[in-house]
Amino acid sequence: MDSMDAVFKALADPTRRSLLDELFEQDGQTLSALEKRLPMTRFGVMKHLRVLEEAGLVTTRRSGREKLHYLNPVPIRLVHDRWVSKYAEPLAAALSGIKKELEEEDDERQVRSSKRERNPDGVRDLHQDDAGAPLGGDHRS
Amino acid sequence: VFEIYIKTTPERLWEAITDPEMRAKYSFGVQTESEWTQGSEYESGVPGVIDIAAGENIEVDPPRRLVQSFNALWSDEVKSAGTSRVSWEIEPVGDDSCQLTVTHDQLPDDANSELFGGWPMILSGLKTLLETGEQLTTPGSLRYSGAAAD
Repeated sequence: MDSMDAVFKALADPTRRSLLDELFEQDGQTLSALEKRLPMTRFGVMKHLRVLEEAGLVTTRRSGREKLHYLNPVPIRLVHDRWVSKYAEPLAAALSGIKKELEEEDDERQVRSSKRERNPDGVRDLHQDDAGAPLGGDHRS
Repeated sequence: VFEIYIKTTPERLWEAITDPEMRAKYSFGVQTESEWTQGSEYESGVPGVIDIAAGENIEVDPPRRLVQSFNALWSDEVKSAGTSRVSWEIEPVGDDSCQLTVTHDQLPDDANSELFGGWPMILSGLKTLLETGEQLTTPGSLRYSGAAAD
C-alpha cells in the first residue's frame, strides 16, 4: 500500500512532526504563521508542507487570499486500524494512558535526568514522540 | 477537515452516506433518516435509545456534495455548542477511486472534541465497508453498536 509509505516517510522527520504539532495546537494556519513558529526559511517550511500534503496529513483550504493548512488525522487512523485489532485496542489505549500519566507525574517531580540514565540506548525518546498514540504503547506488550 | 481516499464510485459513496442501513454499519449503529432533498430535515440516532444529531440539508447535489447543519444531541454539554456545519464533498480520482472530504466547521472556539473527534473512526470504517464489504471494529463500534448507549 504505497499511500502508507508516504505517511511513514512524512512522519519520519522531526520538523514535519513539529509542523503537525503546530496544526494540532491551532488548526487552519497560513504559511506565514507556521514559518514564524519554526526556525526555518519560508522555502523550507513549504517543502515540508508539500511532503505532508502528499501524504494526506495536511489539507489546504482557500479563505479569501489566504491559504490555510489543516491537520488531517485520517491517514494516522488508518495506520492505527491496520494493526491495532479490536482485542488489542483497549489494552493499547490503557498502556498508552498509563505511560502518559506516569510521565506527566515524573515531569512534575523533575526526575527526567535519572530516567534517561535508565534507558541509555535512547529508545525512550522514540516512545516519547509517540506519547498518546496506541501504537507507541503496543511496542511494550 | 478530514480527507480520505476510497476505492469506489461517487454513486456508491453517496449511497453509503445517505442509506440508513449502510450508514449505520460504520457509524456505530447510528441511523440517519432523511428525504435527502434540499431544505429537508435529517435525524440521526439509535431509535428508542439515543438521539445523536439533527439538522437541515442545506445543499444536496448527488453524488458530489452534501452540506448539512449539525446540532449534536447526545449530551447537554454538546447541545450547548449550538449549530455547526458538516460538508461532505466527493471528488472522483482516476477511474476507480474517490476523494471524500468532510469539513466540520462553524464550531465554537472552545468546542468539545467529542463533537468532531469521531470522524477519523467513522471515515476509516466507511472505507473498510466500501472496499471490503466488511465492518470495521473500532472502540466506537464496540461501545455503541447494538448495546444501549449511555
